[in-house]
Amino acid sequence: MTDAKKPAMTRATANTTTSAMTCLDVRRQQLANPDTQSAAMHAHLSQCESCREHGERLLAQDARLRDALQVPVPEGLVERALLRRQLRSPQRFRNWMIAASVACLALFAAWWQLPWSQSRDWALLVAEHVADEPAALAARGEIAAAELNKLLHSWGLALREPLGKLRYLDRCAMPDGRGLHAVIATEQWGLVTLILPPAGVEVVPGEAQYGDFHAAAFHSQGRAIAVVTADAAQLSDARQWLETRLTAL
Amino acid sequence: MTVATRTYELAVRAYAKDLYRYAYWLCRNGSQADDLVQDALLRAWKHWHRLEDAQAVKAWLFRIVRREFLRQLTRTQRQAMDQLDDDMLQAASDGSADMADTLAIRQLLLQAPASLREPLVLQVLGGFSSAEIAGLLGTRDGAVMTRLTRARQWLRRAFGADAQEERSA
Repeated sequence: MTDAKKPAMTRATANTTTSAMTCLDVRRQQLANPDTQSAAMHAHLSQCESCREHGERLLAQDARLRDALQVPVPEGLVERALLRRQLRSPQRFRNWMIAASVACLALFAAWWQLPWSQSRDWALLVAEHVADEPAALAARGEIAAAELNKLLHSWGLALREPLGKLRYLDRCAMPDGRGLHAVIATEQWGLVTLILPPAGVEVVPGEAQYGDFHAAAFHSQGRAIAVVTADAAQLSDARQWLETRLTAL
Repeated sequence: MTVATRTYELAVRAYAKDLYRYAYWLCRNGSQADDLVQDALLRAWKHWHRLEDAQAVKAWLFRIVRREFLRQLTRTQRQAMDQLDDDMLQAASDGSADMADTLAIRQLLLQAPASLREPLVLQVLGGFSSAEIAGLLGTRDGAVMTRLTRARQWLRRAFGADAQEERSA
């Protein structure tokens, strides 16, 4: 800043004794977002040349920054992303296999009573589900056991014994429908997540890890259940603990 | 083509470039950023059924890119992402670099602490508000404002502006 500009700024600061914002307030807001313009700021800027220039310099700096951030994008980025989805999608078979698939599925379903739902790695899915919903683990609600029991009834299950402090409870969107998602604060293992996949889906028992989360999918009382913990060593105990506390209706 | 397939395709076409640029400034490596975006978009497709608010698709995709990036880091690296590095803040204070061209600014941004660069990229490139950035980074609105302020101060010092002027305000 040149010496010539300093008097203007001093005057503006003095003027702000009767207005809502000081030069410091304005410059803080300009630094956080140069595009921001409240009525109070506008009033200040109309009197303060120094802050006006400060804002203009920041806008110019942001314009240079915006240009610099626009790094070249690799050719075919979008097409490759769409292709990967297409290759993962069972739709690629549809054009040439649909008739054969329908016939085969009907035959097998009749003879072998195969489930219609797609087989998925539910252990991995629930681990991902928990990792994707950090708010559920951060929840500090005090939910009554009766609420959980009511939802469990939809899955043909009921509580045999209390589970502990219920922090979070919801019916979440999952592949093939809505599943139950409950977070329980236990004394033994800290937070344990109980997931009941949507009714009717095929669940192959197994274990999986995703990020910091370890999950086991299993069958108990003729129902598919999954449990998630933050420690692999706790998974088996937490699973057994859940099994003893849930019963079929 | 199903509704889900169509909306996914539209979202990829609309946001893939911004996602790549965000990924680039996260990992500071072009090919790694490319892989990151491809993996993130595939993961987004896998969970597309969970997208309940179509208005929030952009923030949701950015969040997935960030989560994929963090997943690849060690716990120590992850913690370092959230720490303000005061030594790094001072490192560019000499203002000696010639900032007349875009490449020089990019070079400077590559040296910026991740905790400052990321909210700045999300605001300037992604067009997100400080509240939205706070949601993406899992922090408070006020903390984002502080980081944005410090990021611009850091840049200004690096651009060689007269720091004396700011202190006099």
